[in-house]
Amino acid sequence: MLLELKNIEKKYYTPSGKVPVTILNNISLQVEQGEAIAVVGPSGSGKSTLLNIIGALDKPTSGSVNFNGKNLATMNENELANIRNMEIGFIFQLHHLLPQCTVLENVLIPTIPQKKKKNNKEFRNRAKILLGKVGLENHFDYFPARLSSGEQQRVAVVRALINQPRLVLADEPTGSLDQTSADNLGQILIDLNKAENVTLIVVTHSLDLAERMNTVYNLQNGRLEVYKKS
Amino acid sequence: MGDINLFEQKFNHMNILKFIFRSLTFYRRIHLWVVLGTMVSTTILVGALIIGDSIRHSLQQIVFDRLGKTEFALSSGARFFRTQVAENLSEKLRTPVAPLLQTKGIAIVGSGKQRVNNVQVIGVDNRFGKIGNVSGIYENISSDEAIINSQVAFRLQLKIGDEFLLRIENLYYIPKDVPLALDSETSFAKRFTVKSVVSKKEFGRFNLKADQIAPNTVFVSLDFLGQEMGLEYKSNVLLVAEKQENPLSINKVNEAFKEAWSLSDAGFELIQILENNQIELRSERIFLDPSVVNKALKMYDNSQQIFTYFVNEIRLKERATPYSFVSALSDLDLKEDEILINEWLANDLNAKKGDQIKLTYYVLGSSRSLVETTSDFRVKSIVPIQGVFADRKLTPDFPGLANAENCRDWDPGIPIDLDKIRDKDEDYWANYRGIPKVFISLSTAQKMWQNRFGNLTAMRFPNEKKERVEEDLTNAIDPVSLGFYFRDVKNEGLRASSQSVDFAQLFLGLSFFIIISALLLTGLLYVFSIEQRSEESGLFLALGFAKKSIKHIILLEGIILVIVGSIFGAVSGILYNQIVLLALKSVWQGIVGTSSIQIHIKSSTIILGTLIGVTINLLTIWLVGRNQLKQPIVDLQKGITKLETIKTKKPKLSTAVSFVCLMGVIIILILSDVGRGREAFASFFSAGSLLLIGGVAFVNLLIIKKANKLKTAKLSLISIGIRNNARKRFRSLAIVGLLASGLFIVFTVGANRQSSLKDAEKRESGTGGFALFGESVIPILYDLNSEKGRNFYTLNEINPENVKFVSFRVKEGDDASCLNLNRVSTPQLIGVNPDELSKRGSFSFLKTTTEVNPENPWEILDQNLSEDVIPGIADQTVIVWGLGKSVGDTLVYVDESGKIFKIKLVGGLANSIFQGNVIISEKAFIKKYPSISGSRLFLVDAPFSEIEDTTQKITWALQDQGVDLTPTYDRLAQFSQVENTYLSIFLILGTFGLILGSIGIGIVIWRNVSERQGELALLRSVGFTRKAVQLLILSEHSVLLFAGILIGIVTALLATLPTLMQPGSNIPYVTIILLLLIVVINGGIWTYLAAFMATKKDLLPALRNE
Repeated sequence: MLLELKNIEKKYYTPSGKVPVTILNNISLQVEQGEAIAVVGPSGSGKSTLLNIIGALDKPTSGSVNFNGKNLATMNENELANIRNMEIGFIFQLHHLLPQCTVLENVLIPTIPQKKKKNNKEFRNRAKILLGKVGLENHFDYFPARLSSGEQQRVAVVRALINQPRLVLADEPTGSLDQTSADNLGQILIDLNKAENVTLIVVTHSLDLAERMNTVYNLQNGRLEVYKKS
Repeated sequence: MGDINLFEQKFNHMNILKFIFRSLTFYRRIHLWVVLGTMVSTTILVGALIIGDSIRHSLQQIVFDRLGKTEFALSSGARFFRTQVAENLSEKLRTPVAPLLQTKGIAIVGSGKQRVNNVQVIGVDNRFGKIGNVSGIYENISSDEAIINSQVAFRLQLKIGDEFLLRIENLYYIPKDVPLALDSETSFAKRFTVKSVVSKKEFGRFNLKADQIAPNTVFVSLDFLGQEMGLEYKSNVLLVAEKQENPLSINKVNEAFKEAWSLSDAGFELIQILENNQIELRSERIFLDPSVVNKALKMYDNSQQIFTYFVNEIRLKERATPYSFVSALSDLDLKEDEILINEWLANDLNAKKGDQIKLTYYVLGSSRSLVETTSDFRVKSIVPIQGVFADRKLTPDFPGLANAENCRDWDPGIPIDLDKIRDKDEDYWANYRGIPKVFISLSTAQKMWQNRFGNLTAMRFPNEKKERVEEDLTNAIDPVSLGFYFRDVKNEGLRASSQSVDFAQLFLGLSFFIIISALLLTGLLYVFSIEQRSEESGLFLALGFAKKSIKHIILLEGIILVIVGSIFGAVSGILYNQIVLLALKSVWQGIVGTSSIQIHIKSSTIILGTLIGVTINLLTIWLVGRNQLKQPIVDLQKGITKLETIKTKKPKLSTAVSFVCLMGVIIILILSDVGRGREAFASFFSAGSLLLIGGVAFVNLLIIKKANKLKTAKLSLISIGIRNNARKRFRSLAIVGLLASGLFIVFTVGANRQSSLKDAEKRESGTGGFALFGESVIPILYDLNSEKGRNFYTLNEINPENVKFVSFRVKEGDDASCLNLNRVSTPQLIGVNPDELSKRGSFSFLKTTTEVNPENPWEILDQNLSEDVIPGIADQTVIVWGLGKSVGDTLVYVDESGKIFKIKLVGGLANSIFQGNVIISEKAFIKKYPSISGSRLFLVDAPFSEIEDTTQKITWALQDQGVDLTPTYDRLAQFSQVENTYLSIFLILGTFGLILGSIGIGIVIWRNVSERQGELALLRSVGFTRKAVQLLILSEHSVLLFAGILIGIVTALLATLPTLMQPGSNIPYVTIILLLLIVVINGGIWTYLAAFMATKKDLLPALRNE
């Protein structure tokens, strides 16, 4: 099992209020390697919070996250950073590309922190292959500002995959795209899931995108329930 | 080719450096501002350090200019040695030695309207040129020619071939204060033709004093000057050139002098008295120095001691004999009141054994005043004019008497009534010359007539050979005890220049505010650049970068920016230094006193300045940037800055700080006396500073209190604005604090200027209530308040009731005033009768030691502190800055007999006309420097309304003495000018700092507004007009500007209250108001611009993002 969430609870305290607001309530989830799941739910239901907890960007109030058999709560900051770098790939609603770097460089950014670096050439080749797969083979040296929003998001997808992560987390990946680009990106994600055997967890409002995944979960009132399983 | 590919390959790979490079170029606009901020602070730093180097180097250069190759110098003052000594020394030491005859003079052109007082007149020959490393110029100067230095040439507009008159102070063996010394011919005048004009390269700047101000010098022929003064082949200064190989030590040079000198070099003479086979030691100074007498007595216990004096009258009842010599011999068996008279006198007075005889004679009072005194004796016996009683040599060669053919030609240094001289007196003179008519015991004679020059006029050594006595005495007497000692002038000069006023420190201090502002600006710009890119940091964290790595990336970027900025700063620092040096040579020349300042760039200084620039800027960006990644990754990633809320709890720290500061202010105000003027400045400055800190803390309290109160109050735009200040309290307080402290510092320093004109008439002011400060080239020998003095100097036109003089004896030394940049160790000593100052209650004391009676501080000068420690008083600024000492410390001097003595600084005066001098009592002065006769410095106590008239009359009467009279307030103004120039520089640099600070405030405001785009858009979307939003922003920041300015002004007023209330203060109101306007307008512009820019944008996209 790649990922196991046990009784995850997340509460927020507002600056003035003394009563906590529960966002996630006793959520448990098990995800196998190569699975593709989607989490849907209304705005403010805690989808992104759940994703951030899975991706070690945030910590649960209670409960545990086991990634590849290891409890994230027992890890220090550097170990978590290493997990995020090597094992997990993030795709955000906004691409967060660095405007000062080219497409190829943006993709290679996650290779910088690696202590045991592969041959740089290997990384570059992989980046180029992946960019080719998403149709950006002619845009290696473009700066992000010259790309369309769909293209920008595709670069972000490739960036998430550059270190061959076992898990890719996508937070509203098509949220800021037009329909065509959104379809296109959805397909890319599914293809990559299959080709790279990478586990995919997508948080989305888009049912079109959600339905392309193996399992669709609905997050409502802090609880996670299976919505659809193919 | 392969290498190039490898490089390209490496560069193509993504790594941290490449990323940083990309970021630096992409965000170049904001980075440019960070670079500029760094550049400004480094410019100021490097510039200031180069200024320090340049001044230090220039002062060092001046030492070489003024000394040439001189390493050691001997200046024997009123003793004159043979020029042959120079040759002997040169041979012994194997280095050039130059003899000089140095005196003072007044150079006059035309009818006398153009004159330069205080000229050093130096008799030189080609040996002087050798020391100065110039050949030819100083050779063969004829008696009608003079070489003038560029200063004299400039001031008198003289060129080669022009004529000018030089009044030269006569030098005499016999100090003018020696009883019976002549008072005539203190100077002589001669017309000279300018042979050449010498610049510093031609040794024209020669000066033995450690002073960067070039002296006025006229060089004449050594032989000619000696001849004119009756000092042929004599000199009073020796210069010993340095030796590259086998360098000389001061001991070696002094030893060599001891071997080279002879008794005649100190004015002693040994004569053979054939009649009784005795060798007599006498002095050209009439009286034998006590140190020499002591040595001689130790060696020759059978010696005869002689003391001969001139008396006005010898009387027996109605009969009197005028003007006679009286001798005392050590081997006469006489009681204290017993007297031997010769047969001639016995006949004249009809005296017999047992008769009471009255002697009337003069003794010397102060300022050469003569006090006629009488003593009674009983005739023990009448002696024939034979043997010892017929010895003409018992009488020394009193000037004006010894060479007179008859009594009517007598011209002694005391008033005599020639009418009293009878024919029989003329006959006695013709037959017996100066044979004493009366003999008394030595102890009685010494009691009556001993003076500071000695208590014997001769010593006789029986049955000795002249050569042996000469050898014995020469060996036994240490020439140092007679004032013949060398000073290591080169090292002293270099030390004085190396310890000089540190202009690097000074300019760093003066630029303090500008540096702080620039750093603040750099920090602000840097932190905003990071904040702008907080999403980037969030992404990095999400992508698995460790926080430490991201911090390193951010810091590395900062380091590169700072290094680039500092390198640019180093270059612009050189330019800035050029501008400052240009100002120091022109408009700010007052503080350096010379235009000989050359730029001196040391690579080590530039590297050091750049490194300091890099360090302080790095420290700044590290301090402001270290907390940037504390927010949650998710927030960072979304670019959400921390939402600051209004604190509801009462801030305990601010309450405590406000309270403590207020209490401190109250205590200080109770303990301080505002009436003490500048003395109270430190206390009030502390009170002002405390009030400032407390004020800022109070603003914090107020913001929170107001914001909470407003929660329940009616909601208005202004109330929202004020409440906003409570959200980013630290930014708000930074604006208030920066403005307040900037204004406080600049105002306080600016208002601390001095004016000498106001209150100058008051006794407690820096003028002491005296109208004029006078200095003379030729010493004034008589008390100018006495009738004799007024008659002698033709001061009859002056009303003695209205105009009084207070005279000071002067022992020249280095100028320790703020006009001299060198750190001096032996400032000029001036001796005064302290009663003259205490009875007037003149001057104010800033600090005294416990020995001083606060009711009458001047009286301390006449007290003995301990053996060889005499009390001294100087300006507090001189003590602290000129000497690097404090009240209670001591200065070490060497007296005329080569003995070391200490002066304890018992009091520090508030800024006075005495700057540069150390004041001691006249009594102590005379004891230490008996040969220095007369006064060269005097204060004129006259009505201020008649200054011009008094100046004219005194200057006219004392023109041959080379008197320079300056209104005391003008003299004070010269010193104040230095301080005021510093303050001007501070004001100018401080204003730049404030403007930079205001830009910082603008940036904060802009940032405040730009990060609240969504909030402002919301206000617009709910119906607020553009103007209403602008009002909100304006009200928010105007409150802060107002608070900052108010605190700044109030605290500055408190800090400067003593100065403001002091009558002598001269506040530059116009400058301060202008400055205030600049700050207010600048702050206003930025606030308005920020408000305008914030509302100009289309705010709806911001709303959508939110």
